[in-house]
Amino acid sequence: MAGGWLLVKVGWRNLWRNPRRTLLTALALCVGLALLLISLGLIYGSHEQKIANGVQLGAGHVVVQARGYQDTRAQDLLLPSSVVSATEDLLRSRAGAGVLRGIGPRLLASGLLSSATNSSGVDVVGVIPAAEESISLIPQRIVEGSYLQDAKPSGVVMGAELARKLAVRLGSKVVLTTQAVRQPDAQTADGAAGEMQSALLRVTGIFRTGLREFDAYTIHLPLPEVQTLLGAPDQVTQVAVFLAQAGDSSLVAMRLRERLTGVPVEVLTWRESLTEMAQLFWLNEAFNYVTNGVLLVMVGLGVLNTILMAVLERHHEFGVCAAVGLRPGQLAGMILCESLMLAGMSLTLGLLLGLGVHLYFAAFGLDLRWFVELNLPVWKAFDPVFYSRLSPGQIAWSVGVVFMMTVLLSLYPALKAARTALPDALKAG
Amino acid sequence: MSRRIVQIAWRNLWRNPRRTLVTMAAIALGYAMLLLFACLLEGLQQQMIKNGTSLGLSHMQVHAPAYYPDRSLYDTLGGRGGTDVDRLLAAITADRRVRAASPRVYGYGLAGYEDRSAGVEILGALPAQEQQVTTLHTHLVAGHYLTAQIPQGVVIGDKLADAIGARVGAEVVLLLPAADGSMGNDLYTIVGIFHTGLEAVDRGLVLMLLSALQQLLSLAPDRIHEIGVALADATEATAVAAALEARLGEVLPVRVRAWPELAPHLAEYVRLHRSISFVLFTVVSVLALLGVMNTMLMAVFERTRELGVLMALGVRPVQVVGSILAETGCLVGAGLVLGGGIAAPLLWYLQAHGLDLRSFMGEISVAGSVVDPLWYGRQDFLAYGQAAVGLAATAVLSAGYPAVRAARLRPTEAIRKV
Repeated sequence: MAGGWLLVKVGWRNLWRNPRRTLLTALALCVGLALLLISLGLIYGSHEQKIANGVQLGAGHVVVQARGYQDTRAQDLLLPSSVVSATEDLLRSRAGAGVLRGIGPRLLASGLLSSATNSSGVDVVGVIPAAEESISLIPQRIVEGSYLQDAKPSGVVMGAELARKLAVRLGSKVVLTTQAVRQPDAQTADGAAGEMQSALLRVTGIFRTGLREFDAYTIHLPLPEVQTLLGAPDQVTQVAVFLAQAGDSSLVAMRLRERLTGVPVEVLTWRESLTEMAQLFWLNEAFNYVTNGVLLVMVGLGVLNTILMAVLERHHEFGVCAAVGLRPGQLAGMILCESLMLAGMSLTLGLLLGLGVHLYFAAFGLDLRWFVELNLPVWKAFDPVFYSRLSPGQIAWSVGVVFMMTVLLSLYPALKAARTALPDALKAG
Repeated sequence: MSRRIVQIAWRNLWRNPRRTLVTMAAIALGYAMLLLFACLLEGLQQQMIKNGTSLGLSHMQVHAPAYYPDRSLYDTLGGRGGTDVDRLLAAITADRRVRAASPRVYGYGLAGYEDRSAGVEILGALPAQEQQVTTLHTHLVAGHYLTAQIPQGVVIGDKLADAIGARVGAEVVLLLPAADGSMGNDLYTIVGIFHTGLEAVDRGLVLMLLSALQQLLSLAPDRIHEIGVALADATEATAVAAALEARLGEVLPVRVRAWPELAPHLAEYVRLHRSISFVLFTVVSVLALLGVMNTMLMAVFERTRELGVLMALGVRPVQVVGSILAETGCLVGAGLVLGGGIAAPLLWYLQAHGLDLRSFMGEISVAGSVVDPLWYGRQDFLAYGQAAVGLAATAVLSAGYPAVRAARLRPTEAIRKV
């Protein structure tokens, strides 16, 4: 189009014929985009934090366990050592290089832990101490003593709440009672099957994660100790796999499933092993989209109003333009140009504002205690500081959505301008 | 006079119906969203408080001062000597705000069936009283609730039943340390299995008769750990707890804890949601403010000449401000009514039928309570009113600038403007 550049220039001038209106509309669009970016960033950021915590306290990004364990948590559903070595072989091979952070074979059981003063039901986790150091949150949250070491075979690490309840401190003696698992093939040879077993342990470390279900119920023991106690030598409940990137979970799970076909195991990603958390995230995200959708429609209506009014009040002017030979397509083009420039300008501002706030929250975090006075100590319940996270894809998507909305909204006013009936328009002035 | 101003303002609004409608739609939409949000939030809160308290906690708990949170076997009400349970119950239920009270004993140990076992919390209670305080009896998926006829009967959660592979009718072994220093150990028959959706309860709770658990723990019949109290109104819990503690304290050293203290995560979660809805309200207000300001500025500019004429005829600036503000008030008022109108059937639907998320998710344990995937809304008229007043005030404030501009017009110049 010959007059293309001219239309852009005229459009730009037209925008500033009513600077106040243009600025107010631009501000609304700018706020809309910034809100979208900020809310997306905070939601994804907080989810990433929760995934990281959930994964580190739970069974990792991907977990391999005996089929049916997830549903029943039956203590006697165990993995033979061949599965453990097969998993390790696959992940430590070249295919796992750069993807894997660590592997933790664990034997889980429930038991009764008694001290001289009190007793409590506990979740026993038998671990290989050296492996846990790099993958689990618990070695990092030791507040007294130290985490398990391979050299100290009968040490136990427990949560601070549990230690308080049992009134024990470092070096205290506790007795763990649990039931040995059934060994169908070795029942007669082993003799221990199904019987209550006790072990005397010494407290070597106390941890505090801030989550009561761990601090009050979880104990870590060296793996061989638990295997002996349960009468399950060389067996584990699960192999927890920790990855460098949570995004690789599905791929790694798929590879493991291929490798372990024919073996009665289940390979679950964190989305499957932490189902409630995954669903809660889904709910959060759905809510965020609905809320942002409504807010954007509010912004959109404001934009529609501005552009539509700008077109209606220039009825006469369009008539004159048409009379001197401007074609309907060019009129529509001019209006579209105006709204595109308005959108471009406000979205640039919105992007700056949104990313600015996002970067601030990414660096310093949004502290929920600004809004609501939380009585609990910070480490309790949940982390009240959210750090914002945004991927370039999410940024592009947000800008694209708001831009498309503006373009779609300006189509109606543009068509209206193009349809200006010459005689009426000239008379009306 | 003032009625005339409103009348004129209303007419002025409809001189440009398209603009008015678009602005009104934006306000209506924002308000409708706030209403739905408030309704769902109130529903979520009530549901979480109800589920969080009715599955095990109860609204208030009466303990010996040292009992909570360690729950030591020996810290029974009235110390090692115990107390007259019936008299204590009568004293508690004397308060008219108390609906029911249920004495409880707790034990911690292992539940075993054949070759499998799991760590459990054992709650001993009187079936008739406990049913008035907690709702476990409404969550049975198999069998029936505790009855005095089967003294060795227990009711357990479905996840625990799966974990040890036991069904209704199975005989389980309970093993736990007793008050006399021995290990209590006996066989019990599963009479019922419940499913609450609360992971900790479904996986770890065993319910049995008060007397049976006292026997297993070697506790005398007048030694109990706790009295669970249900109130007519859960929101009064903190106040009632303080009053009750003061009154009971005269005869017996006790601590009375209300649910916000027993389940601090739940209380924080509820307050957190309130702050989220406030943020949302602020955002909607800002957008409404921008929209209304824009609209009213346009309205003032296109009427410059007309306003000039009015002022030349003797209309005082205050009256001009009044008429612009009245126009804004009408615009926002109509928008709010429209928004309320749009939202009303949805609000009713949410209350009556709920938001059905069952195809997307199951029950979720959050902050020590259960969120049901069939999400019912509850009307929170206070929040609806606050949102309406807040939005109207913001909008009228935002029209202050256009109004003052209009009042400052010089009639001589304004009149010449085309």
